[in-house]
Amino acid sequence: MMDKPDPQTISRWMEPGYFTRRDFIKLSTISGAFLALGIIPGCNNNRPGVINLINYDPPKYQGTQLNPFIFIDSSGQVTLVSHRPDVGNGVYQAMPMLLAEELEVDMNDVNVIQANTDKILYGGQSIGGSNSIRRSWLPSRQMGAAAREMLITCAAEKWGVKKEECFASRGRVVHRPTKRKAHYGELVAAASKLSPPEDPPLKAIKDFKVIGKSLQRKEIPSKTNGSAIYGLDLRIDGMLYASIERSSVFHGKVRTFNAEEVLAIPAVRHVVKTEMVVSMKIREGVAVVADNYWAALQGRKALKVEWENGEAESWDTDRIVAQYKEDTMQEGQNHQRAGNFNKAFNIAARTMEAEYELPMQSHAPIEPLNVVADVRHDSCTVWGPIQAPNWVREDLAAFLQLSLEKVKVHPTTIGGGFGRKLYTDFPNEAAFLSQKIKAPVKVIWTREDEMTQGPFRPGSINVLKCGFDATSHLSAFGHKVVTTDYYAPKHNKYILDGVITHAYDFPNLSYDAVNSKVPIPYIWMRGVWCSTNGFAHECFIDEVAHELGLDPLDFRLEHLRHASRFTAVLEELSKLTGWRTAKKQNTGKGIAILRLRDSIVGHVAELSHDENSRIAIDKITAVVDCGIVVNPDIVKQQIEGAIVMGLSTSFKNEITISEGKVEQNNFDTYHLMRYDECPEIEVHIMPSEEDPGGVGEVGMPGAAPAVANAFFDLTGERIRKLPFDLNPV
Amino acid sequence: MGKFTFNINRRNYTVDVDPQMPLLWVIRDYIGLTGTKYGCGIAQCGACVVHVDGKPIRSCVQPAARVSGKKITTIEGISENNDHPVQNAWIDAQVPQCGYCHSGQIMTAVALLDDNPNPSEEEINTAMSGVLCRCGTYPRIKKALNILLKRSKS
Repeated sequence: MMDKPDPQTISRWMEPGYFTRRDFIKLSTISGAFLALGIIPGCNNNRPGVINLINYDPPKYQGTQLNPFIFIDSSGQVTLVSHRPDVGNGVYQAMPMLLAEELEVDMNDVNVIQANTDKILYGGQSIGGSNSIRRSWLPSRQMGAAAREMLITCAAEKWGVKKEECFASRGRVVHRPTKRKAHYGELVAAASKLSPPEDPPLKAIKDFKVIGKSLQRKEIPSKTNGSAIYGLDLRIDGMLYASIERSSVFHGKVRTFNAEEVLAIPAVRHVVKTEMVVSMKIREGVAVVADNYWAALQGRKALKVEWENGEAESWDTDRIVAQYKEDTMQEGQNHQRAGNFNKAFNIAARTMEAEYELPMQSHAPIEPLNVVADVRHDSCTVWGPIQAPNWVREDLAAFLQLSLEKVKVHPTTIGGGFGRKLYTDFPNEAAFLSQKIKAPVKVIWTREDEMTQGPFRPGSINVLKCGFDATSHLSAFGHKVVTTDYYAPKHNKYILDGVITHAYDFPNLSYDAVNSKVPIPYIWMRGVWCSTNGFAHECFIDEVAHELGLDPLDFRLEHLRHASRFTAVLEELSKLTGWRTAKKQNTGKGIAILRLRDSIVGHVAELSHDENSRIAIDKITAVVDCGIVVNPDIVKQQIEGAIVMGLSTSFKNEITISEGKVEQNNFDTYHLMRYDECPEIEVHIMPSEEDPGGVGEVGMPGAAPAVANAFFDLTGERIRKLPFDLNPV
Repeated sequence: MGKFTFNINRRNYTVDVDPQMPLLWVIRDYIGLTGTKYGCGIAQCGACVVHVDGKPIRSCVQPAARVSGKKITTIEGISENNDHPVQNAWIDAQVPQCGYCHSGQIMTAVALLDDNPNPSEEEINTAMSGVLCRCGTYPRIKKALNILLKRSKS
């Protein structure tokens, strides 16, 4: 059994430019095999403008394929493929918009379908790392442009005219001199026989008709009437239901269990041991499999398992924090960016130090983990809310010793993932169970299962240091992060995300990462390392500014003056929030700015307290520079939501461990921000012609430091440990 | 096991289930309406809100036996064509992200406005705070409710 995702996959995923233009063009030439295999799900819906959610018994699509992303049938109906699953971030709208722009079709006239899992055709299909638009910006437009050029070439040949006299518009090719027209459906059969052009011309930004518009997301109506199909909603023929008891102490082993008694419960069919790999260790469990889910839960209530607890029993939150603190003395992996920090710090006239502590978190998507697995002697099919379909496919092929072609992975609509559903553990466990009971099975995790088993976002300790010279100029700046990353081969530089991606011009600058071994299952969460590093970094910047008697916005402007995208965001924030106007009594303002996934977001938080000293977060204003914006409203949705999550994970909750067990188990002990606690949120987007950055995560990390800095402005007290309760009882 | 009859979305159903089985699983696994979601099982998140005799309830903690014979409305039953005013406002404000909690959000908003077409901010807060959204769509829910209240006044 393999523990996935492996570091190699991750590093490729994180590496910019992994999916090159040449890959895409190459892919389009082998696309003939795609249709022959009949692996396009859905496509039976000919109503224009309707999103076709996954159809699990795919009828053969009658359209002709120009490349893996574009189908056109003889009536001219265009179907565009979104190759990444929908986790709520608008990929079914924003990704096809890139194709539609160059293909010269109106988004209202096209269907959108979800691609099947196929790395050869689509490259990376994971939904995570703010990769969708960022990675597809060039190749998707090239796909659209290549198809358009093929259609224009066919029309020109058909009419016996020069290609240069023809252009494409709204699903038709037009011959300019004669105004003669042909719709794409008339041309597609011949076009599909052409080789795709190597270097199709792309439209100038000023000519964009689709990109830059706040077009409504096609899948939203399916989410207002209950018709969207999430993993939890799937049912296949002959499917059984399972609930699995896993050790409450991490990595506990099954000693004995009362299978006979549980099997006596009506509708219970199997009681079997399960296992899967989590964070390099085996996680064992006992599955109760029944005809319906409620019966499986009743069986589980009657289940008695004797566990053998291992090393994890001696771990608790205090021990993790103590180890991290001890490991701050380690040198770690140094990413010295400028000058010589140690030398400058040692000779500084004056120094400052602060330590910031960040907690563990649960991703807690409202849809709990679930998956349907059907393992046969020579094949395996899984369906579910899967963020990383190719990792799951590779993991299952290795585990079941099947060739990749024998493993099919169907991602459904995902009811929130935030990184948790990137992990391959839950499909692996379900496949293990299906193989063992020789039947298709749906494993549903209870909320308690999900919250107590992890993997979790790791906490971290951040040590920030700076030195000033005799004239009170900042002469050294250092940030050391201690945390745990199972997938970093050494001390991966990604641990320093949000810090090494910042742009401050401090002399003698040093960033260090220490990867501390702790036997708790961890996986990335939205914002990943930036969500913890960013807090420490931007809070300390605020402390330094105050130490120097400078306005924290002015201090940032001064040290980012060479980075015009940063300063433009700061100036815009200043204008929008009246930063330089006199402050009202009993209010406080705080600012933070970070860069992540090639996008920059600055946040200003406004706090106030009432006559009872109750503190409220009144408003968060965010200014985003994410390069060219494909769909402004989707960008705003992502930033708004990320701010809420950033506040929730900083001021509402944490995961703590005692004797190797998680102490929280549901939303009554792990609190999420609720409707009435949500501040007013205003998001502004900077105009830009730079290539697009990611927007799924970048809104999250800066929200908490902006609030913490506003809290200092209001109360004179620093917040250096999260979660922080703004209004303790 | 026991036989229970429900009127769900104006149709009658009889099911033979464990009397303790929560209405949520009856609706999802026996009736086959999957718009109503499981999120916590302890009446904390509100993803499972349905109407029983017009009142919003958490179907994850309502045993089948207790709601037998009642009139139940789920997300699938509030309109024929996805055009209930609340659904229209939700689409206009582009509220859902992952969408998983929004059956519960919409059913909560519908019940609130059926009961009181002109709720105060405090009444809205009380009702809507019962439903968790991890994607953080609260500002959009607020926007949709503002659209609705404006439309109902004009």
